[in-house]
Amino acid sequence: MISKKIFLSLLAGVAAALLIQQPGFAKELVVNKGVLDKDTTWSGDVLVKGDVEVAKGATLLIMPGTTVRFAKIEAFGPEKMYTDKDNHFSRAEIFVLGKLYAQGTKENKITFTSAEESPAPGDWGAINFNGTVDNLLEYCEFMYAQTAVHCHSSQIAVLHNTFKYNGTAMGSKNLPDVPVRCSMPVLYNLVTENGGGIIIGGGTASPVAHNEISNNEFFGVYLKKGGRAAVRFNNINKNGKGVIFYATKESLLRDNNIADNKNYNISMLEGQSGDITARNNWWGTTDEKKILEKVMDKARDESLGKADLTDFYTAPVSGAGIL
Amino acid sequence: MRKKTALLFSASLCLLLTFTSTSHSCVGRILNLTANESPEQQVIAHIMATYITERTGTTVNIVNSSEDVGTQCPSDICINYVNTGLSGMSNDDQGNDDQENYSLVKEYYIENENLVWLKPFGYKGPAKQQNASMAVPVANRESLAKFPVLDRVINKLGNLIDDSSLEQLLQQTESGDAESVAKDFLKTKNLI
Repeated sequence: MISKKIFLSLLAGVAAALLIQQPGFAKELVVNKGVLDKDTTWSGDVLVKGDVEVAKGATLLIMPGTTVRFAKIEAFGPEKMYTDKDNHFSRAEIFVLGKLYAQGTKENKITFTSAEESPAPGDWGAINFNGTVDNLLEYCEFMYAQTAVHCHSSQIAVLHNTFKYNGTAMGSKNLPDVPVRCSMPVLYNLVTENGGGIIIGGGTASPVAHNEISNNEFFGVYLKKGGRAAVRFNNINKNGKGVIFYATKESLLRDNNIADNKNYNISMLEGQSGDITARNNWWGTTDEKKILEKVMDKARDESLGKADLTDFYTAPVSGAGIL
Repeated sequence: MRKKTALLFSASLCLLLTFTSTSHSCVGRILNLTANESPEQQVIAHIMATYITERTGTTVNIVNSSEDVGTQCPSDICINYVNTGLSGMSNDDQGNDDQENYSLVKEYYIENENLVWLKPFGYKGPAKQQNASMAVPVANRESLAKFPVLDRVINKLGNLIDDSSLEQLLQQTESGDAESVAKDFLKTKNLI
């Protein structure tokens, strides 16, 4: 016969064990600076306290409902794996040379955010993909990064995510001497209240479609030198500038609602000397004069190319934005 | 919000850079503009910073200096004056008029100091001083190499601000902050 005292102690132990398994009570996994050189799964609460590299040949799998918090480490301090100040952000980052699967669900999203009590953009660096294919970011929330997702000569599907309060939501470019070409389909994402939205850099060919890109301080979409993208069926509204161009030639921009952007709906930066075609979009009005007032091109600065906005739609594009 | 803007520009610029390591991140470079604390240099610095940012996507950090930079430029860009430039040269090198002096200064500093004297703004400064001479944006040659189209953008501000425009700008800064005054000025000129 066990005593009442022992029975109560056992009962308390069982209750504690059960509670620890609940999400709110699970112990946080602390990940220090280092290399994940074999397949790894993250779930529950994860605190990243330094640069983490997913090595070539290894896969990092992040389960639905996981919250990954990044500590704001000392700038280029001992927790930084790379101290090359020209090419690396000062705070903690993830470098994916292997693969990353972060697939949440609509009801159970994965969150990447700052561990600070008063978080701010740039508390952590980015998830950098370097020469890797078959990566997935789906139903994730990215907050307070410098640039949340960086595609460098990699293939990543970016689907159904939310990007909020970052310096820039995402950017892509090809690297010299890396055989993989960048492909980053960006579909059904909410990109809002960041400094900038989506940057499409040189040589990339990314469909950017059915996204809600709004209220970003400087731009919604930035198409730059050599970048190629099909930008279709997006709502690009109320950003500082809607779509900006720098030295780009080959992008497709049609079937979007591009309206109510603060400064310009279309803005060519210095160096965009070639013409661009942006037919078949809705510009928030059918008044041609008002449409042109929201365009920075050759009409304002002789050194810039001309934007062709003819055949504009006379009503918003139905079916644009997140379906 | 301001922090987001700074971060985004550094991110966007970094995409122009070439990487050599196997693990790539992206950190761009920020352009530093040194200005002294006079109302004139403050408002001109904000005009330059706003315009460069708007037209190139590059973040510009204004470095306030309590001292005049003399004939040097301790950061990427500075504001200087032809007479100051002349003071660093031999007396034999002085020309007969402002334009000739500007040409002499421009040639001397690019050959001897790696400094590029760009197109003069159009006004004479330091404002309200007797020895005022052409005010000129000055850039380090290495900075111009690092930031494509920078010289073209700055040169678009050439001859844009004459003495009376500067006077008006200075009056406006007495009741408003230099950044807002600069932005309004550029909007009025249809430049942003």
